[in-house]
Amino acid sequence: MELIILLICGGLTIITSLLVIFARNTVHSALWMVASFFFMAVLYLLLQAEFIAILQIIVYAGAIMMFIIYAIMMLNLRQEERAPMRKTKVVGVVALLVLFLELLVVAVGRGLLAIKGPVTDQLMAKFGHIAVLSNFLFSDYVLPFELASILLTAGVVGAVILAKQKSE
Amino acid sequence: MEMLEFVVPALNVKAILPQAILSLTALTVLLVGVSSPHNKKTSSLGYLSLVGVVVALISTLMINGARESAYNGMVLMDGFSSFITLIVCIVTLLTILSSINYQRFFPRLNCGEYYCLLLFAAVGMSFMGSAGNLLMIFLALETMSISIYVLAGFKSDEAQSIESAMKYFLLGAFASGFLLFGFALVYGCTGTMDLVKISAFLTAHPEVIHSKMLMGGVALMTVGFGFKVAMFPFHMWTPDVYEGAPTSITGFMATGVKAAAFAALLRVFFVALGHLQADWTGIMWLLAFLTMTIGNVVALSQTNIKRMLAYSSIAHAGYLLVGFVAGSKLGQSGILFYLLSYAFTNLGAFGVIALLGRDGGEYTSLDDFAGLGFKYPLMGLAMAVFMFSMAGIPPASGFMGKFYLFSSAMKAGFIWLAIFGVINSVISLYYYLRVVVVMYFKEVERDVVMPKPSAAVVVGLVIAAIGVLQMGIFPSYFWDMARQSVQAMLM
Repeated sequence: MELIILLICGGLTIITSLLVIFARNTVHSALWMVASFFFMAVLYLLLQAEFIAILQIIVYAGAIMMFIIYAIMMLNLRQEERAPMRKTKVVGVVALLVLFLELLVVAVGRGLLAIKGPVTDQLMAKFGHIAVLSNFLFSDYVLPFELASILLTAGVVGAVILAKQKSE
Repeated sequence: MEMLEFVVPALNVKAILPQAILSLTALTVLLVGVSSPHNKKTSSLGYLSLVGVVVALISTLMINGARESAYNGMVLMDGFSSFITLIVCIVTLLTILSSINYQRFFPRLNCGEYYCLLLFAAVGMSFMGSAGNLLMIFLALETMSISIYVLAGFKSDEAQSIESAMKYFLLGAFASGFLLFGFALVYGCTGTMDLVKISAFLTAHPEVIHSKMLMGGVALMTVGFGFKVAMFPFHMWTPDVYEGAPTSITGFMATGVKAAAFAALLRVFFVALGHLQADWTGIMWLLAFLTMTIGNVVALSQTNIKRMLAYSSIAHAGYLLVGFVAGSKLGQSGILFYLLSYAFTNLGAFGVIALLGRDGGEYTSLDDFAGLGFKYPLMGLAMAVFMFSMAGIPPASGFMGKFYLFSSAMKAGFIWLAIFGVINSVISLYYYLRVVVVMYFKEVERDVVMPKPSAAVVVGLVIAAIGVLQMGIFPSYFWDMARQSVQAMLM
């Protein structure tokens, strides 16, 4: 049962992601992205990560998507004009396909014996996903957590200064 | 319901002292800048951030020698991280000194946000040197990169600066994607992101070493790091970005980003993936050769000095890769020595270039330097010293740096790579010395731009020149420091 859901949702994630790129209309592309985020959330659920699945929907499909739609609206983006297929583009497509094939080969490689981490299904079933996640976030991963806050501060300061200077 | 026990983590302040000081300074500068918005004439913000960097520098020297892993392996406090933090502090110091002068031509740069982002970038850089976990490396790299994307586009009234920021941002985000994908594959293969544990896992499971997944991860990581150090074939962005960015930031990008990216590269490849050394050496050999050759050959035909130095920075990445290919402790120490020497040299050169400015414009064509050598003898002398150092002529530090790098390659058996390195240095003589020739022997055709030095930039140039000469004439002190740093690297 789980395998069937995994295959269906995984396939739909890939298809909707491709539609994001190939849709001619930018608004359509944004809507396909929402669909893609939803299917990805299902994949997280299958991995027992219900909190991340909810965040995926609230933060990405909800908040970030709103911003993207706003940006499209403010910039008044029309349908893109079809750019002529140039030589560089052909090279790019070929390189992309080669990379994609390589990754397929990598992904098919079997026999993983990686170290098992401390977060197991049993642990999450016992305490709940949020408890386990927050415990690790504020103990073992407290420094990356702080560094991420610096990263976000830098991003906000940068975005404000670039926008502010333009309006002056 | 049973509760999960929360163990309060041990907060080892000592391990992150320089970074913490830099972050606090950044926030202070930001707040001070907001509370005094109309005071564009003074350079108090610059001096305030300068104080923070000096304190961070002193704290780095004080904790130097400590050797421990903190925050559950997230931070490796060892000689290596101290050396990188030292380079980052010096780079930031010289950049701020140069910016204080440069912002007189571009008042837009004189704001809290500029210095705040500069300091945040420094935090990211020094964490890249001390990170012991792939997660930390990625976060540190992004902190550095995002700050620098914005700094490159800070002159937002100039199309060239915007183009520079946009190009760097798009390609940089793309490269970060490759890096992250590489990290993910390595994590998938080994089950841990801790560099030391990855190495231990590979020792225990030698059959994983040649799995396709790990190889794929290493290849993708090479792309990500290669972009940041401007390695061939990921160097295309360098000239446009360096030319468009404010000159004070260009020097910062060329030296700081290179130092941080090489630090992370060394840590990941030699600490975590040391078992794969035989596999990557061949590829890196070729890339080192192509990087230095292409950088030098294209630099020959440049007439804009910022573009010329951009190609020269690609060539220097090639020289540094020679030490990487050698792979020995000697090669790694050579890289550290060269990074410090390059920081002094390059920031000195960009400091001189940033002197030539007038309200809202800068003069970066080679012809703008005509006749300046005799008119401003000290400035000309400083520029000549920096150019000699880049070309690798004794007694400047660039010579010793190249000597250590190439001799480590010779000792490791890569004779041809060392020979190609020397040939490349000879090629590069042409365009470095051309700057000196133009300064001293070229007739002045139009009215000369007067350099307008201020006290800050003079101090900065003097520090850079002393650094270059000191490292060139008495290299043993710095060489011992670099060697001990590599010896003390936590494995």
